[in-house]
Amino acid sequence: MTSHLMESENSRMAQAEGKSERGRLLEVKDLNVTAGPLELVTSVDFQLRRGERLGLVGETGSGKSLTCRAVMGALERKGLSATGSVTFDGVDMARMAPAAKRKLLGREIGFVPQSSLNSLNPVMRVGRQLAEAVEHLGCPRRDVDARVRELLAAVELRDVERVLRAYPHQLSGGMRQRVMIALGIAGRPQLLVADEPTTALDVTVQRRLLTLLVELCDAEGMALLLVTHDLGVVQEVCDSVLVMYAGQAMESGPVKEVFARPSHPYTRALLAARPSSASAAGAGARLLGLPGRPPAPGTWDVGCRFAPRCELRVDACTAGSIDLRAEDDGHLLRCVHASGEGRSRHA
Amino acid sequence: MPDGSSARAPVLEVRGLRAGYGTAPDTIRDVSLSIEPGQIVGLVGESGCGKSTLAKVVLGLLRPREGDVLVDGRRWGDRSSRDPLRSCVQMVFQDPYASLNPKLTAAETVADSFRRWKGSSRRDALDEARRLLDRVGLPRTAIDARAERLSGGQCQRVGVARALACEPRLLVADEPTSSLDVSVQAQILNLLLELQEGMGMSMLLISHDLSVIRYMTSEAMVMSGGAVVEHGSTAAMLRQPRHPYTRTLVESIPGQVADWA
Repeated sequence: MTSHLMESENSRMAQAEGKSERGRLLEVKDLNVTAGPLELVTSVDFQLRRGERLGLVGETGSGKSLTCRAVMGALERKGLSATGSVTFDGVDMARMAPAAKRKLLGREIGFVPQSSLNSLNPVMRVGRQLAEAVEHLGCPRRDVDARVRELLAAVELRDVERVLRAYPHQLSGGMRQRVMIALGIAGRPQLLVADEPTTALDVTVQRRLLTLLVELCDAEGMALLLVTHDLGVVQEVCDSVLVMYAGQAMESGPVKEVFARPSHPYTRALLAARPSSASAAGAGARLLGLPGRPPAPGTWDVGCRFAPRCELRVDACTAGSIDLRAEDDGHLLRCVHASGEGRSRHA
Repeated sequence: MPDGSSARAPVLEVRGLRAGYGTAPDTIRDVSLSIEPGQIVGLVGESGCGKSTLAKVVLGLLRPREGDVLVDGRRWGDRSSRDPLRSCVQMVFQDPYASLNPKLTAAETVADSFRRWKGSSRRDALDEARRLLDRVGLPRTAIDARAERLSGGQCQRVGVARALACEPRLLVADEPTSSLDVSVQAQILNLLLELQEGMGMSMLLISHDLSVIRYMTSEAMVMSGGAVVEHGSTAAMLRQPRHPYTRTLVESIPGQVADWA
């Protein structure tokens, strides 16, 4: 199955390049998210071409989900505010009228949340919920049923009758997540934002869902903004990756480049913490867990926010703010060390 | 590896087990396994294959329909909470947030175990709980924090401490790290390995992540549709999976990043 994903990746990469002259689909510039005086996300920039798949990775609390929510303009309800610009398909979303923005969400931008059990209405049958969403998106009433079935077929849910009649708790986690994906793509969006869509699912189920997501993206020419803490998932699904830590981008670039030459000590620590890396290091090797936890917002130091947990910390790390600097080939890095330095320690 | 002395009785011995529920009496069938003192055995399989049912039987929460389950050579008795075996097998749960009372502090949570199992006084129990929490690596500042304020990794350390409070012979860890960050997962897995090496703790480790199983165990079994379809050395199984389901699992390990170094 891996080879299948790789093949589809190659063909799609070519497509994405072909489309790049048609411009960017999403451009996020200098995005800051704050909760009152508290800074939660600091100056995040990234862009997505049509059909491109970008992975946002980092530990819990690094600001990945907030970044996603800011893209969808869905922060205000939580008492958070965002500054910076989010341009979708050439239009600055901040300047959009609320009604226009609501129209964009669900249609041009689809969303798949992490917890299907918290996102579906527990006392409404799945079929009714899907129908409601499809109707809301403007599907004529007589076509609703057909469209719902079409969506369930697209996410490869078998046993359609049972699913339609079921309440969410009667479905397995994997089936519920397929329903969430069906809701996410119901408006035929150009961009699908998926926040940990496969976390806490079986690996085999996860694999099938990721394959499905990739196929749907290919079939519909959909771009994907994928939040995950699993670097393996990014490596298989995404074209590019943005590693976040404590509300900042630490490293970003094409997946092939970043995984071949992980340059930030944080990226390398995340890779080294994966159980598969211990096995690669030989029998009996202990995993290099990353000690400590990310600093809470408001306690971020001047300079590198990862410095307190970093093995390569030197005085320069905390002397002043560190800018993202360009390595080669679209690879960006926020670290005082040269890209490869000290790599052997984590390898 | 632990001494693995065959002279000592296995901590857990399951023979020809069949168990299930009212409508599905054959949820698991013909399952046999044994866990030696200080050994970690991995149990792999997809949702619904019977892993958790097996765990319930091992924990004495579900009575077998056929076959034997021996813990330290003894059979589960009347399934009441007074069964002395109850303290011999303890569980670490998958969802660290949901398995703790959010309104109790970490120390209170673990102290409850001490009071219940050892009859310690309230104050002694709290002291013992603090020592144990320190040992499982919970930061001092978190020991008197309510569970709702702890991170996932911290909650899981509390869960491990709570299980250890009654000095069990066997830990059943059901997906103990599947809802944690990869960096925290490494810490919890290393903690479990330290328990194994330092205390000779035996474990039944349930996971669907083969890279975790490979890291933690030398022996593993794969369940599918209620039966054990493969059982043996973890390394051999991963190198040459024989059952089609095991092959699917091996192929599903996301992103083999062995080559990045």
